[in-house]
Amino acid sequence: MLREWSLAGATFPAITGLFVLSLLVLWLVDKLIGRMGVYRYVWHPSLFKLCLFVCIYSLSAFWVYQ
Amino acid sequence: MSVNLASIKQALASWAKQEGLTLLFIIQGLIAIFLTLWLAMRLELPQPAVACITVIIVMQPQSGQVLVKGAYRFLGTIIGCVAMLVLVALVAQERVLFLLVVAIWIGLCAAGAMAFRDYRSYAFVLAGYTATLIGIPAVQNPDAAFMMAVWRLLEIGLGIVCASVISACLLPQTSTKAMQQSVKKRFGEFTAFVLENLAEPDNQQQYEHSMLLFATQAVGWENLRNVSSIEDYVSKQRKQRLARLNQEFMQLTSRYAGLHSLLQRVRLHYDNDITTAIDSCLAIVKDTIAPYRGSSLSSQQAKQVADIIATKQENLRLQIRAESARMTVLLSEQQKLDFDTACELIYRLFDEMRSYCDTQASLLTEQHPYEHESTRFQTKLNPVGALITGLRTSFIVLTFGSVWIATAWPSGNNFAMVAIAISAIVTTTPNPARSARQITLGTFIACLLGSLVNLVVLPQIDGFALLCFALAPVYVMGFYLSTQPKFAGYGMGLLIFFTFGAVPLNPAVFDPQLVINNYISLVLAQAMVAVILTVIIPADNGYVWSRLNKEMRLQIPTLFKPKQAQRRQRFESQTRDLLSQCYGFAGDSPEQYKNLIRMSFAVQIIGHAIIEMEETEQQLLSEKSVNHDWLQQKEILKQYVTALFERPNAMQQGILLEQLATMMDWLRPQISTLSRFESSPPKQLLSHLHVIRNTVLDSHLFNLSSVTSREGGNYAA
Repeated sequence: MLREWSLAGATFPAITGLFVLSLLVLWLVDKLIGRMGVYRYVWHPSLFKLCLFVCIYSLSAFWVYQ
Repeated sequence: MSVNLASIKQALASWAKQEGLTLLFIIQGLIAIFLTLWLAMRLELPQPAVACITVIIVMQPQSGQVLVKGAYRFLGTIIGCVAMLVLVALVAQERVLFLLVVAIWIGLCAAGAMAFRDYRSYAFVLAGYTATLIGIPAVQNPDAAFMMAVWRLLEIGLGIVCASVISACLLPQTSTKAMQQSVKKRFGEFTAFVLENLAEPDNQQQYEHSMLLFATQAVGWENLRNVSSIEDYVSKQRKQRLARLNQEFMQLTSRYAGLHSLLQRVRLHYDNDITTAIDSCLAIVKDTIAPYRGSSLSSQQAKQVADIIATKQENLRLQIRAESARMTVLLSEQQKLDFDTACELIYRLFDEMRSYCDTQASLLTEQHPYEHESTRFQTKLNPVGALITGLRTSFIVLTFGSVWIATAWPSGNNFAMVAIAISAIVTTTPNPARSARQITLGTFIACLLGSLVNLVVLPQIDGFALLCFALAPVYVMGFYLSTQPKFAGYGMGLLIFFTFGAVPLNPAVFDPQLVINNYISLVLAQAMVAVILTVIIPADNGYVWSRLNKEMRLQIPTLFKPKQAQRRQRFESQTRDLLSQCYGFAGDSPEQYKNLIRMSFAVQIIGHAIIEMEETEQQLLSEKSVNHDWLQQKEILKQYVTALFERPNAMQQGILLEQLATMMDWLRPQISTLSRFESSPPKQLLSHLHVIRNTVLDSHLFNLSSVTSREGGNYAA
């Protein structure tokens, strides 16, 4: 995986793009577990979501910086 | 001792509800700003101040609002960035042409923000604001435009992310909670209003005030519902039911408006007999709802209330029949009609209360059939208002840009930039002129404090912690002011422009001349924007008022348009939306506003009657028992109503009243005296016509003496 992506000649760090992708993944996961009713057992939903995002984002960053 | 403890507990609880929340908001704001500042310094962004200003613009007491605002603002920022890069690439060489294009772009954004007054407006505001922020410095050195755009995008993005995370995770005040509380309180508020108004029917001021409050609440509710359904899964699962609840609430208030105006008339014209009869029917409603006066109602309790009302409905029906039988001999034809109509309204009001409680009870479960019904709150676009705002903003851009070019003032770029940004930001506030005036004064104080911190304090200190201590006092004050509705503008100006001058660049620069020059341009720009908004093109001019009045009247002819899905929902929501649109500048011209309120009540009452008349007709059509003559008569009625509401004048009013009288005379022989109200469509139709007639008779309504001459002239021209 390249550490920099090029968009019409302008390079930017891959983790910027991954940030957006992680947000999309988070959105999907959030929808899924919401439908499963997981949030009924969660004390602090937004904190839970934030942690979930950190996990997803970090995992994807490991993929770049192996 | 125990009494003392209880009172202390109570005092603590009430403190936590008010001052406690303000304190929490201030703490959240401080943490969000300093976190952003630290990250911006750590990530070596060139202008940490831009990131901090974003936090200030996004920060709200409710976390859901921050999330939604943040998301839309980020979207707006990206759009603004892209638009500006294209413009810089195309016309940066020619400063005048560039200004013209920027003026058009920002005018469009401001018009968009004005047209969509919900969360979408943030995207428009920020698209305009970012465009200025990037565009004006870029025109001086176009080579750096791309990098500058990237930096601003990152800075704004950082601010939005920090504000959202802090507000959502650190002791969040969720919009869902606010929503739930308001659901609980609403029925109690309505019953309190009804009981008070029935006890004191002549207190017109109180009545108008409460009805207005309900209308603006309905619009605010819709916003809250959208925001909380994005924030939280619990609300998301109940989104449609909450919409339905709001819709039913609006119907309740419309129904009550109809009953109120009828009762007023009956009390004015008739003797005791009929009023006692009506009162004895009303007493059942009053007794039933009295226990819930002003109380908060959970969803379980709502179920019980719905059941109680359902059993009492039968009593009411019997009571109405008994009174009606007793009255038959005593009353004239006209009085009987009034009595029947009043009873019908009371019965329907009661039924709608039951149905409201029923919907509230449906919120208890996760799944419910109501959830699959779609109810939409439709806002009313105000194209003229949007156009005026757009033109005004473009005008400001051109004026300030020309001053900058003509004087070649070194701080002219700042001067133009700030003026444009502020006029974009105040667009969405209820009263732009007042906000701009407040922000100007806030900016002035910010200048003094900012210069003090930047020139005297910052050179003495070292390290991030001390920087925070130097900035914190002003931020605390600013955040406190921004939580007070009356002083929100001062707080905003203070926070934004203090940050602008006091937060150091990265790396920090000590340049007193630059700071003072910047601040002079800021205050000048602010003051000029305030003057332009107040004097030259105020938002609350007579033309806008007459436009709004007309829009309100046109709600009635729109009802007749064929094939409308959710006609009733559209009607209820748009009348409220129109009313709340001008709530902001109501204080500046109370007389105009009063006219609009009166018109909106009449429109609600007549609209309701028309909708229900057509429902009855549909029912007859399905039974194939509708009379051909009636349909013809109704076509004529439609034409006359449309004509009157499009161009009110005494002649049209007379024609319409005559038509109504004809129709009522035609209906009367169809009614057998024995038939009961609920099983006699002609009787129902007659009572709807009667309601329309009573409302149209109100000569103050169309303000006929003045409106006819002025608007007549307009149409002739």
